[in-house]
Amino acid sequence: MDQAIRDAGTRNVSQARQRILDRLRQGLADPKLPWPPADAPPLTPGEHMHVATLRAEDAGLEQRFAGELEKLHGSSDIADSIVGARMFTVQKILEWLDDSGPRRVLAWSELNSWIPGLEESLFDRHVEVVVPESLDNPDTRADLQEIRVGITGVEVAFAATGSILLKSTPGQSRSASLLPLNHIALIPGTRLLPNVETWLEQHQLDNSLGHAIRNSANLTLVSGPSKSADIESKLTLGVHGPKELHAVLYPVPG
Amino acid sequence: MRSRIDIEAPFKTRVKQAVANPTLADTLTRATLHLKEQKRLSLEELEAQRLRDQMRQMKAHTLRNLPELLERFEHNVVMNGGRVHWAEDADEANRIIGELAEQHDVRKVVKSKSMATEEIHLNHHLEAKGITCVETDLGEYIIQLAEEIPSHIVAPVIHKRIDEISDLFAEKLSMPRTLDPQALCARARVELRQEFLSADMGISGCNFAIADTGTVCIVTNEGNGRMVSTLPRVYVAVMGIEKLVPTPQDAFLQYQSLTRSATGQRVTVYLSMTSGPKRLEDVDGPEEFHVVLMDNGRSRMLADGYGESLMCIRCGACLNVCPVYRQISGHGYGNTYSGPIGAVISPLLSEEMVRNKDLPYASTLCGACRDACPVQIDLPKMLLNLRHDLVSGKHMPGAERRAMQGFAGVASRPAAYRGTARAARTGTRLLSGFGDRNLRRLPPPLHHWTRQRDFPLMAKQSFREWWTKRSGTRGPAT
Repeated sequence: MDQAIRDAGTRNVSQARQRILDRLRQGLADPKLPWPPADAPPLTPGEHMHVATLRAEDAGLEQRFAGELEKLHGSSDIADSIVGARMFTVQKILEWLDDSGPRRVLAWSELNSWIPGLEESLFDRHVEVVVPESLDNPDTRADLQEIRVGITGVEVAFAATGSILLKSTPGQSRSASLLPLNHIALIPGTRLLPNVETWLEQHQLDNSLGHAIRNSANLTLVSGPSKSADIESKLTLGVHGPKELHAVLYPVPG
Repeated sequence: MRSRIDIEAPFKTRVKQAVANPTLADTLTRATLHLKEQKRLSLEELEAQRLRDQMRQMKAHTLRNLPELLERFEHNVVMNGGRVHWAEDADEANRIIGELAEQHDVRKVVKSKSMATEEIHLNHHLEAKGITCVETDLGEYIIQLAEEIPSHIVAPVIHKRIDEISDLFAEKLSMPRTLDPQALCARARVELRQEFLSADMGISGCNFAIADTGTVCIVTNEGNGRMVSTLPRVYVAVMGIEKLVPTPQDAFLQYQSLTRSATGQRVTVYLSMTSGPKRLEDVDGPEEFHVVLMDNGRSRMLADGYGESLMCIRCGACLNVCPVYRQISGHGYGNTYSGPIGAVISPLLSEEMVRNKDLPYASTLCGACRDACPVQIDLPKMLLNLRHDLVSGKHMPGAERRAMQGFAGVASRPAAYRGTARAARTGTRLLSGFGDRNLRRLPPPLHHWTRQRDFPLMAKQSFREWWTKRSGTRGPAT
């Protein structure tokens, strides 16, 4: 009985699929069809225009990124060394952790691989770094809800639009950049590119674009803190995601 | 408090209700002009025409190869660990999602803004099964509290003033009244966060999906799209079959065209790209990922010659420039999709040609929509084609058909035409009492015409008479 129902379900599903595809193919086969044209070439890789681009007056990628992020109601620090980056990061986190809330940050694993010594610096200031392994447990969720600061690295960042690209992996939770009220993103200079088109072209060149897009369950492009203009076109921040987004840009030695 | 437009009422009643609301046109004009100006500024800085041309080329290519791209997309979603469901119409899409919900004992669904699920009235269907649906986009949440339907593709609550929203929060959430939008927003955050954390299923639409990688992309500013696709155990994306783009490069081109055309942003705050359920050892993300590919009239639209409208990226730019939209609001159109694009696709999608037969006339054919469209859809042409199809088909009411036949008979016989014109000249002057004002009412059966519009006085002399006098004895060639 169950098997019969399942078979019927499958049959229906494939019937819908077949009917839709058949109707499309029949429609497209009509030579008098006004649209789409019979000859409709694709945009070939490399042909796509760069929509947001750098300008002659841009002082550098870091400055452009910082300027764009500011326009999007975010903020940033540009450090000239790893030590400076560590200092800026800790400073910002302490500023956000006022005395009332818990001294905990929701983080990606191995923060020290982004900025060496960062975990120790936070420990010294009695800030607990929380790296969850799973969010399946409702108690874990409720507990993480209390944390007000999230800290992550980036897959890559784009100067022309002030955007960061975040990739979900076993050590890199989506929650760290989503649940807390404040988010700090660490951007080493090697990961800062002019725009998204540059990134796409780099991957296209070494044939890794498909992999870059689909080898993780989720990629998110983030440009500034969460916002809405739904109420009378007036700006409101922190609707669902973070209300503040702070970026720390820094050079990577050698 | 409620929108004063009854969306179930006939088109002409809806228009009357819209025009009778004194604040509606002001609110809409302010909001749409703001969006229009933002769009202009964001496009000024780049080669806007090149972007439109590339978009048009990409979308035309996609439509031409749609069957193959759908098969490729399906294959890649499955390779990513997701599942694909095909739905011929709204009922089938609702049934598929309802069954998924039952299989997973879903009691609460969180949704991010989706026109596709509005199109099939999914909430209604799920609620009939005892499942709670929570809209999580701030505007949609307000709409849901008010028990209304969205009035704009990208700005669903564009028709409400802040004091009306404050009244609503006071009534439904017992919140003290405030005119501070940030306070209203903070309250919604707290309410909705609990919903995200306790929901069993997340449902979103899809702004575009990449065939080459099996990736579903949703574009939001608030982050509710991320929440919906991250926190619940099961994530379902509902998309029309025309939403595909072939490659990641095409996806980012469309993304930037969409954000600039919709709200004038270079980028939105979030672009969430989902390629399957969470991977082994991932910290968070859904355990199951489902895509519902929905036809619901789209393949028929293509075959019937309206394929161009399937290139629409749902940016709402045509609404923001439309003089008719500004007067009658989204609710005036009485359908999920409003504005010029809604006037084209609503009659075609819903198979309710008769109920929607007036929509193709909800346009002055001024052409502003075509000029605003990021893929250059010729909306006025499609509206004219629809009118033509309506008139030549069986959808036209008998009286209108007889009137048109009568006109054709008179217009094709010069003597009859001259005689009728002379009679109309005398008639209208008599009716106006030899004044010079437009006529507000004509005698039956012509009073049908003047119910919705004034009738101008005929000129004192006809063009033919004027021409004959001006050029001596030579009359115009006939």
